[in-house]
Amino acid sequence: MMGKRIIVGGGRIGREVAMQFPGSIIIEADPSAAERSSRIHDTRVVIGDGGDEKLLLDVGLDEAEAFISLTDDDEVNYRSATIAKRYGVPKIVVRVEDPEHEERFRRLGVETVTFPAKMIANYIGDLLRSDGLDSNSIPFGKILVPLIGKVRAEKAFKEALLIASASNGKTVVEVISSDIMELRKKEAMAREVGVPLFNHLLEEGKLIEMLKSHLHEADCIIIDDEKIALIDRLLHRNVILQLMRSVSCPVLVARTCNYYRHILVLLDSSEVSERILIIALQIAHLFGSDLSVLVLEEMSPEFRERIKKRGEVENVDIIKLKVDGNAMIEAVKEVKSQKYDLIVIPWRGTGIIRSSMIRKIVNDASCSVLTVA
Amino acid sequence: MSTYLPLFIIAVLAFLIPIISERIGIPAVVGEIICGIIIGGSVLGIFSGEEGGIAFLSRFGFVFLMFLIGLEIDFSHVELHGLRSFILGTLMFLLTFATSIMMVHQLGYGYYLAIILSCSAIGLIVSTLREVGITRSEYGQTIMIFAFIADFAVIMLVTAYTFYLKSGVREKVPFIPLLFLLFFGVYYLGRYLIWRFPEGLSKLFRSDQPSEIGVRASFALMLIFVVLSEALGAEAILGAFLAGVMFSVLFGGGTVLEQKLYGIGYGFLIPIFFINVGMSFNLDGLISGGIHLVPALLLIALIAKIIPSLILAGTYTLKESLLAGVLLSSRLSMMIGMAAVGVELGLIDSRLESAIILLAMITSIICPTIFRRLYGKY
Repeated sequence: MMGKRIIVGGGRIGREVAMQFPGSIIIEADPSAAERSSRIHDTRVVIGDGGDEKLLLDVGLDEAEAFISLTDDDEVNYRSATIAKRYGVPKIVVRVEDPEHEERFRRLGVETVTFPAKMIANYIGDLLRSDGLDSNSIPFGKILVPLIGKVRAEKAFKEALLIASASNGKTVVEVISSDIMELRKKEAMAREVGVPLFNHLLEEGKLIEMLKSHLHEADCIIIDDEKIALIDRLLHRNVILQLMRSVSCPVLVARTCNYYRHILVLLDSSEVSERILIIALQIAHLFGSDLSVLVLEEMSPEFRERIKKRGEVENVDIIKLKVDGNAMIEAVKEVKSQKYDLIVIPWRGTGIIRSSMIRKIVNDASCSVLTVA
Repeated sequence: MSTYLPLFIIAVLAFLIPIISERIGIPAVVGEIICGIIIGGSVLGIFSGEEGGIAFLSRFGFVFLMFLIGLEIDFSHVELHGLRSFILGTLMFLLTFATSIMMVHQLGYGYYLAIILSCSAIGLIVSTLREVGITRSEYGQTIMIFAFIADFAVIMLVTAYTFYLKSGVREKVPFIPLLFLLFFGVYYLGRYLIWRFPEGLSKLFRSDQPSEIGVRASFALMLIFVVLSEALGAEAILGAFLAGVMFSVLFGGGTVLEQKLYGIGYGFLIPIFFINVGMSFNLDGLISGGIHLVPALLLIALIAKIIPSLILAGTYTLKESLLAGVLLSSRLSMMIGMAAVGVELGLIDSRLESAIILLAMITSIICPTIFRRLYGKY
């Protein structure tokens, strides 16, 4: 039998997944949860332990096309995933409760789904502290996603929705494009996740002028990663860089398209560094991310104190990285370490990181890059 | 006599001079030259400055000094403050150069003296600005860019001028672009390496390298440029200077490695050069003929910087513009070095060289002092 999907854990998520894929099998240890799962149309429910090899074989593990383990117990998930791996199930997805276990699952060679517990805790904290999210604590009130030319800005739009939905509807996403169909599609996607969206139709080729003139009140512009050939580089035909030069708001180049689990901030003593840090902390707060701060230049003790205080307010774990040696090389080393999902850098800075190197980071880093001017 | 005796005496002097000159309030370089004059042929006659080892170390000190001057040229200022200050700085230099040419002609000297008089003293100016606490201000940055451009342009002009003069190397002129090609080649290679292998390069700059691999790499880089520029018939100092600029452009400043290089330079090699400059100082020549040149040269040195600096009056107050001109009038290592090159090429005589050295000493003392005293006061 082809196309069989085995889901271990019949909780809310397991049931949602089963609903999307009719014909799935749910294995659930708790009879009452199993009872709820059995109401799903075209789904078989088996009561038992998901880590029981015999049981798994009985339901047809050896011919399953996908194995999804979603219990809230990392041990059960690990055991069942190991068995599924041994029987060569092509697609294995596992829920990981404790981020520290993630590496172990990765070594096993399975896809992981992490629920950022801290993100939820921060979110609840915000709800408790005041009437909903304090508008000061969201990084951007309005995010602009321009759809430039042939670029569909899929990643950019996804990350915009991610940030907006994490901001609990306090962030508005604005899309501009010359393609009415594309705008309709994006509108539908935004509605699905409950993010307020505004559309703008514009004539082809007027983007940069438009951004310069009357749309500069956006708090952040998110654009897709752009693959540029050498010839474009030489002729400065680089849309991203053109955009960055002409607008004053932060610009995010989207590549990660996922929760930012770990954010890197490069700080020098330029005037924008405080602003950069606040934005990074606010994003880290929204996503429950860890924040690594690479201090490139000597900072005043007052500034360091302010960083610490701000981190406490936002409930963000700040990891301080010290530069030993050449600041620029150390920065490149961190940027290229693959440890981060988002890098926040000053667009101009004090020259510690050469502007040519900033442009390189923007163009060639492997994760999302947010530049603040 | 021990072969190390001259070096021993120089080392002791090099150690004592900064302590004493700080007390009196003169730059250490000036103290070194004065000491050199005293122990040299002109007064006590202990050394001639031609002792084998000393002569070489002094020449290498000069080359290394140019490397460090190049290292001090920080392009991030130009990068950050845009084209406007760069254009203003270039304009200021052209005005300075033109003024010097006109006035030097009145004295009956040629272009080479005008080139020498157009230079600045970037190291001295940066440290003065640091003392006053305005390195970060736009005003301070503008002065620095002006000084950078002046020193850079002087090196280029000296190179161009020597090529023009040395007929023997004229056929080699087409090779000079090679040096700049190498410059850009190394630059792009360096940038690529930083991006591709940050881990490996990071080691060069780390403070805990037992074999000081970074220092070795710096010397190798510098000497590639030095050897190549000599092979192409240019002055060794041009190569050293370009290597320093390259280093600064690629890696930026303020690193431990830079501190180590400063240690080797200012701690050992460069004092030998300046003491040696003093030792070969032609005091008799100065007294018998050169001395009367000094007031005229001083006047040119001041006018050639102060009048052009009035182009700043649009942005800053008149007083600030004039003070910028005064500070930019200070000259030191660069001018002394260029004078030495001039003597070597037979472009100026030792009498004029002595006058130039005296001029450098005077401006390096009075100009920063005037700036410090008057800046920020009404």
